Amino acid sequence: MDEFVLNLTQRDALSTLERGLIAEMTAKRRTFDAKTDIVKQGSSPTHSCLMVSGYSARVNLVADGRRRITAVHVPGDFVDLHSLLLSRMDHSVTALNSCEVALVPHNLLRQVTENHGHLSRLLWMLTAIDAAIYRQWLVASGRLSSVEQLGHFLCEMALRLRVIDKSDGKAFRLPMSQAELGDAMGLSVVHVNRGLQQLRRANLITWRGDAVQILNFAALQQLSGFDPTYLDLERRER
Amino acid sequence: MPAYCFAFREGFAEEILDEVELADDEAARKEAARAAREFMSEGVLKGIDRSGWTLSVSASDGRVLVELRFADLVSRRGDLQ
Repeated sequence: MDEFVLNLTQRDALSTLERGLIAEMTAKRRTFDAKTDIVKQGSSPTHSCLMVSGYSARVNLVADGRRRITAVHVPGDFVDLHSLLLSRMDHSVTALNSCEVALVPHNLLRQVTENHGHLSRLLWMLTAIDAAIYRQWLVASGRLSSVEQLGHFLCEMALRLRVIDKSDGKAFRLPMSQAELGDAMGLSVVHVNRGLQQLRRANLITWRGDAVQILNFAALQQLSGFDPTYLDLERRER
Repeated sequence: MPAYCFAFREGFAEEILDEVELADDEAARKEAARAAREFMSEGVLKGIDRSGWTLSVSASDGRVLVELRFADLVSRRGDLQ
């Protein structure tokens, strides 16, 4: 479970005991095909899901079938740690591409919270960072133009993927269609297309298949007003 | 998925998008109206009136599916109704 360990050790040190606990927690694995549900809205899970490989999206459905993507998860992310405490899932989690997921039993998570304070705080930290990302998406959705939103999202993904050694901070894989990007930003497919075209013409990015390359991170950051503070990437005692 | 060409125009100004992949012609028509309203809203937020623009959508075989005048997509009656 290297990516999960990288995600945590970016922000704090882990003891040998904690690393062992993580290996025990993440032993049970399951694979999911692209576009299938990892977690279903309305369900009451008995385990929380940790991304081992692949990408997934947190999805909220509205009555007429339209949907909003409220988070994109990468390897090393817990997609529903909150299911330990909440009775029913208020959202689904759908695989964006083929995924491997560790199914962490809730009873094991309870034991961790009762006996291992530091590791519990780190899990709590992950939910706090999830919430911070969500707040930034909300601000971006309400206050940035479509092209700025796209730029902000790509800067965020570059840094999140750099933490888990899946990017050098500029090049990374992003298996999302323009329709899925639109669902994540509340934009029409046409405006996603238009925004990406503007970013390409400004020589800020290239995007071929699922391969994204940020050509000028500083310029993209400036365009989108991206400030990575909310990702809390500082390593310190928690 | 089929690809469609979206062309925004006002007078001699023109913005033609890369091919947009959508499920079918009906999805392209719906997307056109939504995109036109978004384009107008973006203009309003910048203090620009884009109600004089048009959007035409054509399929990859050249068929023009829809030609929208932005002005037709907004009601001129008083709001707050």
